[in-house]
Amino acid sequence: MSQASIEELPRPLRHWFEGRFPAGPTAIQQLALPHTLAGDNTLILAPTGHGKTLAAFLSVLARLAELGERLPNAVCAIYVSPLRSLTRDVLRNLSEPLEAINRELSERRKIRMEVRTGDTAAGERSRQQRKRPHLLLTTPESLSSLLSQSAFHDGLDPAVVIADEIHALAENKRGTLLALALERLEHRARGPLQRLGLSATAWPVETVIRFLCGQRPCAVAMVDQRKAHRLEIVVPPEDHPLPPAGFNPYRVAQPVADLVERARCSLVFTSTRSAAERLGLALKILLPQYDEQIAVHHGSIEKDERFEIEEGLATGRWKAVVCSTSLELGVDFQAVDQVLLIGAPRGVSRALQRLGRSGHRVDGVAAGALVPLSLPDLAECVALRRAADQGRWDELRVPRAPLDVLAQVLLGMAVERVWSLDEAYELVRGAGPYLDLPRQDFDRVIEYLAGGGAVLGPSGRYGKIVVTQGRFRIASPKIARMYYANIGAISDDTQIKVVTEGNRYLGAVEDAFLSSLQPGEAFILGGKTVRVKSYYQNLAIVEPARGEQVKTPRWMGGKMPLSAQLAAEQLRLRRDLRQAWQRGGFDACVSVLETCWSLDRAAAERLARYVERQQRAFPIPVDTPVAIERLRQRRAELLLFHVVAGREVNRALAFVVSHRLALAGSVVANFDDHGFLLSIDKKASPSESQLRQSFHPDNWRADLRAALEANEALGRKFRGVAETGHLIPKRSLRGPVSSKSSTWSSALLYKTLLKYEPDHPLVREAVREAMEDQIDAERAEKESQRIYAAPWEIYELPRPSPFALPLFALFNREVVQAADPDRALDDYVAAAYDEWQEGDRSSL
Amino acid sequence: MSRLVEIARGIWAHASGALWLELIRTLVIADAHLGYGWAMRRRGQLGPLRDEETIAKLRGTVEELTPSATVFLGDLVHAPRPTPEEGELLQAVFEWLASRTRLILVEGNHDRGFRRDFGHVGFEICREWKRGEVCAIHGDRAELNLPAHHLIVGHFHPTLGLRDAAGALHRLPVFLHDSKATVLPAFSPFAAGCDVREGVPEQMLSLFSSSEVAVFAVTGRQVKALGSTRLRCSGRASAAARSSDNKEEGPQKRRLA
Repeated sequence: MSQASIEELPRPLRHWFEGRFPAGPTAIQQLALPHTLAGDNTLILAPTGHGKTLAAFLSVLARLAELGERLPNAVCAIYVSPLRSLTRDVLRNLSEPLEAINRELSERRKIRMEVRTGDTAAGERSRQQRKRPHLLLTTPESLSSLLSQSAFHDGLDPAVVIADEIHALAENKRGTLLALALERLEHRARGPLQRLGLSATAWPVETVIRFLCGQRPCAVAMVDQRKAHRLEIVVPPEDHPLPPAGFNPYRVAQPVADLVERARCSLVFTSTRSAAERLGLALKILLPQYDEQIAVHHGSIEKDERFEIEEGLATGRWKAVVCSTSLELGVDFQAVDQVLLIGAPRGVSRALQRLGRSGHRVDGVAAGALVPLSLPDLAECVALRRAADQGRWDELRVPRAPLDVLAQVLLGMAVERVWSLDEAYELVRGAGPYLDLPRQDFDRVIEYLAGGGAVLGPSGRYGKIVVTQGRFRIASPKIARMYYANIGAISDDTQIKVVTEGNRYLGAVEDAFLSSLQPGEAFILGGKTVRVKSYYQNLAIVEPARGEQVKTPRWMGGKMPLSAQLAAEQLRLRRDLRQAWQRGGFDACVSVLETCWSLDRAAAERLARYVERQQRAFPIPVDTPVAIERLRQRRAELLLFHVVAGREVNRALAFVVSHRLALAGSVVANFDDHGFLLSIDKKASPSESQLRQSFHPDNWRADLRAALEANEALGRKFRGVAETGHLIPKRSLRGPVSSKSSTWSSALLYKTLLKYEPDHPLVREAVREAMEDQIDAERAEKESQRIYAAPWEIYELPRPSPFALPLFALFNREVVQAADPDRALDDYVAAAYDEWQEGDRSSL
Repeated sequence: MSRLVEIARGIWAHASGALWLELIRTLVIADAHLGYGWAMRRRGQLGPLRDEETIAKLRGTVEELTPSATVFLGDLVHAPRPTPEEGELLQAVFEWLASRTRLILVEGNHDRGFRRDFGHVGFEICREWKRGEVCAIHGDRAELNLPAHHLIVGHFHPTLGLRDAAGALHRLPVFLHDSKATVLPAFSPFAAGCDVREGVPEQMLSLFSSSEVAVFAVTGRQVKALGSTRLRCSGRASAAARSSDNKEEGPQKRRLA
């Protein structure tokens, strides 16, 4: 069958393939080609390095080659990826086969393949309007923008769209934007659009198919990939103690440097951009002989420099490249022979993706090492490795009918042309995420865009669209320009460009970070130490610095939550350790880690000593009995629940429990993947039975919704929804809006909307997002039920137990219930009065 | 719960955030920013209109204290050129006020179009308003050579962050006071302001005779004296001053301290 498929390819393409791959097509190509060549929608699942990209492109190239001289001046096929760097990979890898086809074509009839992303220069854009690329490589945002542009009213009707790394798109609103773009493309063509989805780790398959194709049929081509990787866990030597909490990469710089030195070319992943910067700097100091061969790569680094780093990874120019998520997806780098994961990635799929970037394989196995940053992180690494070995992938969750993206796309459609409401509604409902969208929700979004609402009635002044006789159109050309400036579904802080005095662009950092710097204070960007010399509009002009006090910029994009799979695995590890300790203490723990969890002796002893320390407070917390700590801290009582279920569950529990306790004062919650902590006024301390009642299964969902809806805390997160839904502009026509002002005005907007228009579509979206995307309500409900029925062990402690310490790192502090200001003021004055009693002479 | 606290002889802080000059029965209100929601809509932000709350508070305060004169200490409206609906609404409010109290507007940086837009309502419009030992100014200009007078100033929207027992942060509008000046909180519940403990603009610091000032917090229902605090210079322009113009926010010029 396989050879038959290759036989079907047009001659130049077939010749090229046979010359380039004498061994014939790979397994995944054999499985996929019959479907792709037949024009079926196809989901192609295989590990990196198995040739799945080519599996998809062979049919696309074949189609283009068949058209040959008859190719119109139009976009015939589109490739969409979540990352700009991926489009460049593809450009590089397809140039050869494309050339093979083009050689047969006359000079003026060559097939054009071009990239169009946010990086594409204005001159190139306008050239693409005249001479359209036949094969367009792009991102969801750029594709959405093209769909509205009058220059592309015709000539943008592809027969096929390839969505690469589809798992990374499906899980967030960029994917929703793409799903709607696919419907718009299909609507234009008035014929079926072939949809091809690619991924190494997308699961469950039905979820991905629904996302890609809605209700249309879709074939699946998939190869087993459990044996495709090997993971080592590397702990620092004995004289480098691991801390009980925190994610400071300096702690492991020495062992990482040792690993880097041993390999030819290392790709090092950290969890945040600032950790990448810090580790990069540390490596340069520890390995001065490789100073010029160590680079830092992340999304805020200047474009050309990113290109250069990526090229170097293919050719082997670098000893090590430290990156955050920016190099996580895509093809393998030939020169990379070692992948290091600093700190446990919070999901199995993510870890496997990262390992896949190594081009060096022995028998198709990608090897890598996990380097834990703390003791709890070591436990996470152990659980992660087990889940990865057993092929327990993370379950993908696709945002359901987000109304903010809908608002943005409807606005884009209005820019494109006049639509009838019914036609637009039908179009939207074809997309997987919107299959169940009620007409009422659609109408509310239209009403909002038309400037209406509770206060103004059905159509107010300053609407973005105008609705007349069942049809809608854009209100003015100015609104259209604002629309183009604000496409996208990622909210980020305003980026300030950083340039040298010679006007060389170094990268961008967040506005909020720059304004936190003291005058003359140095910071690092792209591994270079600089100091701000002056500001000019949205530019920061810097000079080189030799700072002792060097700051690392913060960038948005926090840590990922622990996946459900990994939480379950962690719980298994904790149960094993708890039982082992009861059986035979320290030695039994070491032995269970060595035999059942394949840890080496040194690492096993590290972890066993951590268990020993916890044992001094109380036995390792597991699921049953539920372990709860009660602590006093100044005026507050802290209630700490050990719940190993991931923060998507713990956040929900924190909201419902504090809502149900119905205290008069505030409740502040901290939550992470292993538990949650409620801080309340110690005068309001609840009894055990009150606490237990607050986990009661009755009415649980409704209470979660009520807790979220009543909560102004969602206001701080409202900015993303407000910007995606074009309620507040990210960029005005004069330039970016400062992040401080938009965070503030969105919090305020949320507060007023809650008061005057609680069913505003964007408020509903904020609540939906909190309930479904940031919280896993379904799992949390089950967990609450379990806790309600389980035996509890409450420990009154003078200080938090070792396993509770990470909760005090305060990554996710949130006021889940706010007291009214009068009470806060009284509290404050009363406390000041009490402090005088204790003889503490403090002023405000 | 007290609605009024005396912060100096004859000068009272009111729970609404207004200042009450008892001896001359004069109410001073700073930074009401009426029409904020409309102004945002003109900029392409389709948010709700939210003047109701401010207007209700304004009426309530006037009914409670029955002033013979009311001084608006600048930024009474957020933007010039109201839309017809907005203009109608505000005019009705101003006429209601005018029927009960004499109206004075000390012009602020947001009131540049006020004389044209609402001049006919019967406001006495000035740059500074002096009575006896006090002088009321908006505070956006650096023309502060008035040593004989106690200054009453708006513009800066001071707030104070308080932590309650559970550790939640509340930002309350505050009056700041010393022998030389009194700075009023914004009357609008929607105005952002500087937290006096996070550092304040130099322009505001220079109003006072020293950096030690008395603080009075308001919640709308009560006002409370909280002792004194030492102000620190933030080295940056105030939030109010930075977003003071009604133009669309363009690329901001940054100030290097």
